Amino acid sequence: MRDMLHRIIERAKANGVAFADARYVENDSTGIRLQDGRTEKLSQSIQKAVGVRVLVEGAWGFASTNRLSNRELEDCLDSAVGMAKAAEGKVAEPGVVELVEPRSDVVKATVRRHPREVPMEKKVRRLLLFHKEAEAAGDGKLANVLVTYADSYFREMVCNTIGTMVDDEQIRVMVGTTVTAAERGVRQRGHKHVGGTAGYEMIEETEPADVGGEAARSAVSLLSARRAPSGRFPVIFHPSITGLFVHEAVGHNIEADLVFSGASIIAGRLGKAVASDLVTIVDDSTVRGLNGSYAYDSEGVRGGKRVLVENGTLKGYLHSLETAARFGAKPTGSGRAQDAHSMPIVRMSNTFIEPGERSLDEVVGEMGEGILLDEGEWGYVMTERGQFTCRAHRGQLIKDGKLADPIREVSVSGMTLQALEDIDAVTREFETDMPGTCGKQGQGAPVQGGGPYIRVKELVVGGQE
Amino acid sequence: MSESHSTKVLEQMAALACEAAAKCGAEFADALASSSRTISAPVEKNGIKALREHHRDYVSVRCFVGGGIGSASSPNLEKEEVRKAAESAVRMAKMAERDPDFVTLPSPGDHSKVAGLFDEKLAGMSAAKLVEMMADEIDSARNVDDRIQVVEGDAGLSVRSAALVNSLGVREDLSGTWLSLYLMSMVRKDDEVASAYEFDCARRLADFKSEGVGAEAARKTIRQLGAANVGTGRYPVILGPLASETLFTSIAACANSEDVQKQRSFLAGKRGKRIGSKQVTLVDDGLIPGGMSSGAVDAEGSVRKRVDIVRDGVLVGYLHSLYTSLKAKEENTGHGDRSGGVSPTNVIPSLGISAAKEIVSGVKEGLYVEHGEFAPDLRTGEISATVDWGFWIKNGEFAFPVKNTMVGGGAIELLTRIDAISSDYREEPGAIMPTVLISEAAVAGSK
Repeated sequence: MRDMLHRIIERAKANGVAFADARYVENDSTGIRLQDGRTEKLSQSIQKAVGVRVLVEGAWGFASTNRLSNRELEDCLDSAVGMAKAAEGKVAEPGVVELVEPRSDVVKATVRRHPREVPMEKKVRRLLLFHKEAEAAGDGKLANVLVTYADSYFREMVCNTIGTMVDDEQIRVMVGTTVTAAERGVRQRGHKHVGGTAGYEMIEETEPADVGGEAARSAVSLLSARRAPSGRFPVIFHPSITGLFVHEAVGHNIEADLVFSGASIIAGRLGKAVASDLVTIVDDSTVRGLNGSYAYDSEGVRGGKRVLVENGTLKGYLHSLETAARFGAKPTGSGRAQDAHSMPIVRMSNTFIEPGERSLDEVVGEMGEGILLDEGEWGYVMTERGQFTCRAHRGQLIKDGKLADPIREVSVSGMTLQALEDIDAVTREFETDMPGTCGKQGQGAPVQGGGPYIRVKELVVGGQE
Repeated sequence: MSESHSTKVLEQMAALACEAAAKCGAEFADALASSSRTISAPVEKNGIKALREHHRDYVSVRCFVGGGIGSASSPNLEKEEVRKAAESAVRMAKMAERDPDFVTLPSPGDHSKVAGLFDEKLAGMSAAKLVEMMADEIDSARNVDDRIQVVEGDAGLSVRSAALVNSLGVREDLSGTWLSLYLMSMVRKDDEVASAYEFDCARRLADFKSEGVGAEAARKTIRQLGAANVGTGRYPVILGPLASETLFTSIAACANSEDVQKQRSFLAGKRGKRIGSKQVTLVDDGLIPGGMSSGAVDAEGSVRKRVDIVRDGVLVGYLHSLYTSLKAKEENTGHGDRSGGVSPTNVIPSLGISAAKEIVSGVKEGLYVEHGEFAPDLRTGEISATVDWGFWIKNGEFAFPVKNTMVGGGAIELLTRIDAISSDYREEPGAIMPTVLISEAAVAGSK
């Protein structure tokens, strides 16, 4: 395949393109689903495809195929050139590329137990322990228990006209439990999952009680929780919601493609204060084991640790080869593509707020009333207006400096810049246990988020009471 | 680039997968062979960002042994890879455990063809034409007001040839065409930023009316200037067409019998009971010609049926796959998907007698939601939604656009408080989207 990619790039050069890259992506994944203790479904998917991107007269063209003969790949290149030519004249801002030093590297995933070497039967036996822990913690109130397992082997080879040839491997695993507890007509969900860039050892080292048991305890405890109030409240985010907030509200605004297009509320604020001085935000693709980690991005640029906001001041954006050229910056290794059928776009990896110095007890203790939100589920942002939404699966009211009644799922909304300025406490307790998938422009990318508990002076809580 | 494979070739490959599965010991098997071509033209900063085309061929095979499921997909349509996928699926099905509720896969059934799902005109549309359509809409947006910036958008065309075959003789052509275009624009005025989006979609070119999508996005954007905070309280809430569509389709999604049988849905045990006001009638109709989610059969090959879900406020029906229908000893409605679950198709609410404008004019003070995700939590039925775009109503008129505002309530509580559904509506292929008046809901604002 390496030779085929080289051949395509040489042919692209001969065609006189300003830039071209060819990516081969192989993605081999398996999944297991246990429902109510029964192994009901096992699945496997194999994808192998090549995507070719060209820059011709300022216009980008892209084509991909999973027919992998030399002839088909030549057709694929011709199609990409044809696409660029069809777009010529309709491009408002001609495409550019930062001409970085070429890289040549082969990165092998270093895991202790490759998931392929573990028999399916053994995986199933392990998953049953998660089911049993859920049942044991469910207090006889579980209507449904679903245990899921997934692993994936991802290999990406990137070859471009700059001279880069990078071959990068990533292995990811995930195990999760979702339960439904029911009592007197009330139903509640509990969910917990663990995952990241690791081999099967991560599954073996995960205590089933910490996933299955925790999911069940969460669902059962919510059966007696009250509905959330509606209105403006001081809010403390659990690290899982801090992770959602920093990813949705801040991170997407710092992606330089959105900044360039004018769709970021943070555009034009480089070097200026964008948050309370308690806030330092980093994006780091090098943290071993986290879901958003990788060695090279989909443009063959090395990932790294990037400080985006330091003590409240915006220090930099996340860049691809193109946005780096547009902003006169260095690429940050943030040009990621979901697969060979997608073009690289600017993405986050593992994004956190750095821990502070206070304790959660101290922060809660000084409050009159407020809400602590826990178990981040999902979020979204309108980057151009800076309005964000984060969904918490559960929470607790705060009354007279103490954690009080538990509350059910609720969403919280705010304006990004105001919320960042209103962060008035950051704890030393710090967690990064939120592996997930980020969606942008129709592409999913593995990411992880987290941080400390943070307190925001006031946010809108969309409760039902 | 090479053309997509014909449905005849795809049917042969799907049949090959089923035969290979049977040889390895599958009791039942089905296979979906697909060959697709997708073109898209994303937008960046008032122009086309790129033009993309991708081709993908694959076969996905499901095998059943004792009701346990193994599934695998091939990386391409090469015979050896397809056979390997079938063998792998059987191997996994044998590792799964027996399911006493599994009886069979669908048998061939008589049905008519649903018209308008594959359009030769769309299949033959060039990439240049797609670019031209998007460029025209960027211009139409910017012609509305010179402050308008088009910051995001995409025009996409997908042409798929597909064949579904199973071991009981089902042979179905699931080919289709889909065309869509959306565009997001924004405007800055001093420190304020306003934005909005508009879209169109269709299965056939004759149903596609992209002309003016850009201009409408721009007009909606300008209307969002001057957004203000509102107070917290209980107010009448009007859901505009795009917001009501999220509520009604998600109610249909929660009425799926897979989640009902597993006690995961808040609609479990509620059949025959009132879950909404008498104004609320919802039908799932997957047989609408040219509908975005239409098809003569579901993803397993069962014949689709029109289903009454809610009639005059009473929950009257659940959506079924063959598996869930046999388990419940009820009629199969043909809503099975390939993951083994149950999914809604086109969800159609019944219309009322007042025009949307009259409904708004009857509200003294309240909230109009142009867009927001009013999907309830599957288990609890609770809704907690951000108003992505909306207006505050005073004395029957839009007073100002709102920002940072949320709406909360239980789905049944909100459905029960529906006082009116408009007689006029927004229509997209297979979707009827009226305006809906909820007499009262919890509104949270930041004033």
